[in-house]
Parts: sequence; structure tokens; C-alpha cells
Amino acid sequence: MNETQADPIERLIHELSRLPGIGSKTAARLAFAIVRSETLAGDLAEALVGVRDGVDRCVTCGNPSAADPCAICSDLQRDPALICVVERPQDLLAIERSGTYRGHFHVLGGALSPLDGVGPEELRVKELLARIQDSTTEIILATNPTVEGDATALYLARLVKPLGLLVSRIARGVSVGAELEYTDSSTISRALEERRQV
Amino acid sequence: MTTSCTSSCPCASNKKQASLLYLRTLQVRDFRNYECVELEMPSGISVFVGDNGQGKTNLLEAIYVLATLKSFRGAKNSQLLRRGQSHARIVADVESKGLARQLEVSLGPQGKRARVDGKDPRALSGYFSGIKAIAFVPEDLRLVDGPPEGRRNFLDRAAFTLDPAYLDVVRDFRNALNQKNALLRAGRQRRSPPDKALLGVWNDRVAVAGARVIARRMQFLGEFVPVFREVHEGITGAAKGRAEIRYRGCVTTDALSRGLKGIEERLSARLEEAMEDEQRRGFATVGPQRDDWQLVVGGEALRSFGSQGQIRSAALALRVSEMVLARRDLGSCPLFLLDDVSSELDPHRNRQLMALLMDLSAQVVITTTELSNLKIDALHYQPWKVANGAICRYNPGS
Ligand SMILES: Nc1ncnc2c1ncn2[C@@H]1O[C@H](COP(=O)(O)OP(=O)(O)OP(=O)(O)O)[C@@H](O)[C@H]1O
Ligand SMILES: [Mg+2]
Ligand SMILES: [Zn+2]
Repeated sequence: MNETQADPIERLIHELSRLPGIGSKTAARLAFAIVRSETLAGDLAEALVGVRDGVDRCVTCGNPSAADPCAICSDLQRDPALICVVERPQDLLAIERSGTYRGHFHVLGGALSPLDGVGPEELRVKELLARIQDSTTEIILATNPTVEGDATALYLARLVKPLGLLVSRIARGVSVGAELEYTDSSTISRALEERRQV
Repeated sequence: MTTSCTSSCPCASNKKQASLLYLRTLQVRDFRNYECVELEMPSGISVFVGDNGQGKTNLLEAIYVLATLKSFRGAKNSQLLRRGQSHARIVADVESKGLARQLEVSLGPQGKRARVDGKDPRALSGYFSGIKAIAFVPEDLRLVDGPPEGRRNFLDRAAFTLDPAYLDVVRDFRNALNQKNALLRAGRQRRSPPDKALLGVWNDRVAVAGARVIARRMQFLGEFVPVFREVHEGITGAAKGRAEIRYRGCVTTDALSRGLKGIEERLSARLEEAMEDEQRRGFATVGPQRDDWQLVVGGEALRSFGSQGQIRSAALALRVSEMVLARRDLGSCPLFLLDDVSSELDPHRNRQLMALLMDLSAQVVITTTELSNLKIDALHYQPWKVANGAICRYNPGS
């Protein structure tokens, strides 16, 4: 039992500062913005409960979604021949925001990293192989241009190529070592257009 | 030797060149055995004289920490703080390429913090662009005859000084190598070697990044060796034979000359060959992380055949060459810190060295136990006396 309840604003600041990229100063600024607004707290609370209760993962692509298959996987306008492989949902979002890509996605859930104990089994690699069908013609490897992302791309390329698919790697328009999530839309568009075969 | 004043002479400080890096003042607080010293430095040569254990090396170390945020003795932060103190500070007014800045390093329990004109620099590179120093300390003799790690560090650090982008190359390589080693280690612990396909992927990353490391080292040596040869000859005289640097390692000499692609192909092949051995041992045994180089003079390896004096001249020539190259490529001459000039160099070599330093018109800080160890005209330097953590101007006559 909580005998002494924490001050509600302090508690809000504390919870906010647990989010990645938010320090205690930013958390305090956000908290006071929420307190000042008449509607924000209610809207946020609703959205938060919404993600907790409604969001799961699309079994096909691995992207978080309330519906399964997700909106992207069930969009008939999209080209089923193309699958773009990314590390994390944020990368998918970044590519979607660039607006030029009209194929499907596959979210791996990370990149190979023996230091963190991440091997192919820890990533959604089997699921990728399982969803490749006759209609699939090209796999675009859009893992981050880091040592780990490059190794992951190479691993997948060597796995998928024998299946007779076109395999391409997103061009290095993305600056070396930078992550997709933080790259601007036009750079992502260009990197996708200029992808090269591997 | 001429007796006319060069621009490096303290008595001619107003003739100083714009390209000179110049530490005007130095303030050291609670660092090693210094409680508080404040010095106004001449732009030329300063000589700190004192008995053993008085704080000469400590003073050079303070300047080196200011310039590199590292100790040349590999000392930890806590060792640098004056006994019983929790904070230390090194502050200097530095002029570089015509710009005056105040640089400050404070040391505390949390580590080191660098400031430019009292403010945190946006990036550390902004701090380092304001000051460069090269030190020659007695431990540098190990560069010639010590373990390979020191030689690799020398090479990588010198290459980085000239091309800061080299840092990313090294970082990528380190990442790939650490990942590969983690994979091999895990395989050994599980007693089942890692999947070849997976190991092959990391080998590929090691080969790509490793080849870039080797190619950059080659490129650096290509620039460095001619300078080194000239400096070495300047110090020792030409009679002793041509000086060479021989790089040896995971890739054969003929592959080294075939550029990045050639190096990468050869390294790839070597990694492939070593795969089973590495799986068995549980760590990487092939790559530039194990490469080495050696100094050869007149066809003989100094490491095995050099006399103390020859080894000392060669090590000194390595550091002076770093200076010459940095001066040429960066357009400003780093500070030169020369610890413990002793009678080990014969008077001729000693004199040659001083002439060379004056030619570079670098700001030079020398320590010695005896002024008579120095073969420079008394007109050309400012002597200081160091005694038990206190420093004052010194008149050898009195
Ligand atoms: N953290 C520290 N706090 C206080 N004193 C220290 C600290 N570290 C080293 N010293 C003292 O500094 C002295 C050594 O100084 P330093 O190495 O500069 O001597 P030196 O003048 O270069 O001598 P040498 O001629 O033998 O090389 C020693 O007496 C040592 O006790
Ligand atoms: Mg000393
Ligand atoms: Zn989906």
C-alpha cells in the first residue's frame, strides 16, 4: 500500500522521464504543458490506453498494429513484388514518411549483434523466408548503415539470393553511421531510388 | 651553429609567425605535486631544470593533458589529482592561427571536462582544433624495442592527427572485430563453433573495415617515411645508413602495394583460411589489430641490433617527424614537449636536435636535471627552476 502518495505532477514528471531521449528538464516542461492544457491530459490518456489495449504486432510484417494483417500488408494498392527489410518500426515510419515507396515491409526487430546476444534466431528472419512467394521479385535491404546493419544485410542477401530474387541494398545517401530514423525524407527517397544490387 | 636569433627565440617573440601555436600562459592547480603555479611562457624554448622528483615531468604532463585530455603516462584521473584533493584545473591562453583562446581542463571525480573561453565546446573537435602537442618521454624508447601495441597506437594516433576522419575508420573496424570476437567467444563457451555463414558475414565486415585501416596506415607511412628519413639523418648524420619503416602483418607486402581492393581481397582470403583455427581458439587471430612495424637502419633492425643511443635517436626522430608532418599538413606547428634531456645523446646529436627544433620555430618545453645537458646557446631559451612543486625564473649565474 502506498501510504504517502507522490505529488501527481511529480509522478507525471517521473513517468515521462523514463522515456528514451527525455531528461528530467524536458519531462518537467512536458508535464507542465499537459497540466496547463484543458484537453491534452484526457486525449493523451485515451491514446495511451489505446496503444496498451489495442496494439499488437502484424504477424506478416512485424510492425505494431491494432489490426492483423496491418494496414500496409492489406493495402491492395501496394506492390506485392517488393519487400523492404528494416530493423525497427521507426525505420518503417521514416520510409513511409518519405512517401515514395509503394511496396511491402518486413520489420526484423533489430540487427545482428553477437555482443548483445542477437543472432538470426532473435530476429524475424524465418518469418521473412516464410513469406517470400512466387510473386515476390525484389528484397530491398534497408537496415541501418552501421557495422551491425551492414552485417545483417549481407547475411540476408546470402540467404535470399539463392532463391532467385533480386536483392538490393539501400544506397549510402544516408550518411555513414547515421540511423534511418533520423535521416530526412528526401535523403531516404534518394537512397531508395539509388539502391544497388548486392 | 649560428648565434643569430631565430623567430623561436624568446627574445624575439614579437617576430612570431602567424602559423605558430603559442601557449602564452599556463595555470596549474592541484595537479600532481602542484598546488598552484602560474607561468608566462615564451614562444620559443623553455627549459625546466630541477633535481629528481621535483615535478618536471608532472608539469609536462599537465600541458599534455591540456592538449590531449590524456596522460602520456597512461595515468588515471585519480592519480593526476594532488593528493587529498578532489579537483584539479589546467588553464592556458593559447594563440593558434592568429586566434587567441582560453582553454581549460578541469579534472574531478566525474572525469575530465574541457572548456573553450569558459564555455563547453559543441564538439570536442572544436577544442582540439585549438591546441596540439607532441611529447617525447623516456618511455617512448619502447616504440622502437617494446611490444607491438605501442607501435600500432603511434601509427594510428599520428594518422588520426593528420586526418580526423580516420577515427571513424578505426571505430568501424573495432566494432566489427568486437562483434566477431563475441561470436567466436560465445561459440567456444557453448562448445559448438558459430555457424560458418554467420562468421563469414562478420569476417566480411572485418575485411572491409580492416582493409581501410591498413590502406590508411600505408598512406600515412607513405607521407611519413620520407620525413622520418630526413629528420633521422639530421639527428644522426647520414653515415649510419638509410632509415626505413617496415610494416608487417596479415597482408603480404605485394598486396599492400595493390591499393584498397588488393588489400581487402588478400585480407578476406587470409580470414577465410583462418576460420577453423579461430573457431577453435574462440578469438580472432588475423587482422590489422595484430600488425606491427619496425625501424630498420642501414639494413639492420634497430629493435634487435640498436645501441641505446641509436634507439633513443630513432625514437626521438619519430616524434620530431610527427611534428614536421603536422606542421606541413595542418599549417600550424604543435607544441613540443621534451622530457628528461640527458647526456644519453652525444653532444653532436644533441646539438643537431636543438638546431632542428629551432628551425621548426615550434614552442618547445624541455625538462632536464642539468642545464649543461643542453647544447643550445643560453640566449635562445628561458630557463626555469623546479623545486618541490614550485617554479621560478632561473639565473644559472647566480
Ligand atoms: N597525485 C600526486 N599528488 C602529489 N604529489 C604527487 C602526485 N603524483 C606524483 N607526485 C609527486 O611528484 C613527484 C614526481 O614528480 P615528477 O615525476 O614530475 O619528477 P621529475 O622532476 O620529473 O623527476 P625526475 O628527474 O626523476 O624525472 C614525486 O615526488 C611524487 O611524490
Ligand atoms: Mg621526470
Ligand atoms: Zn503488416
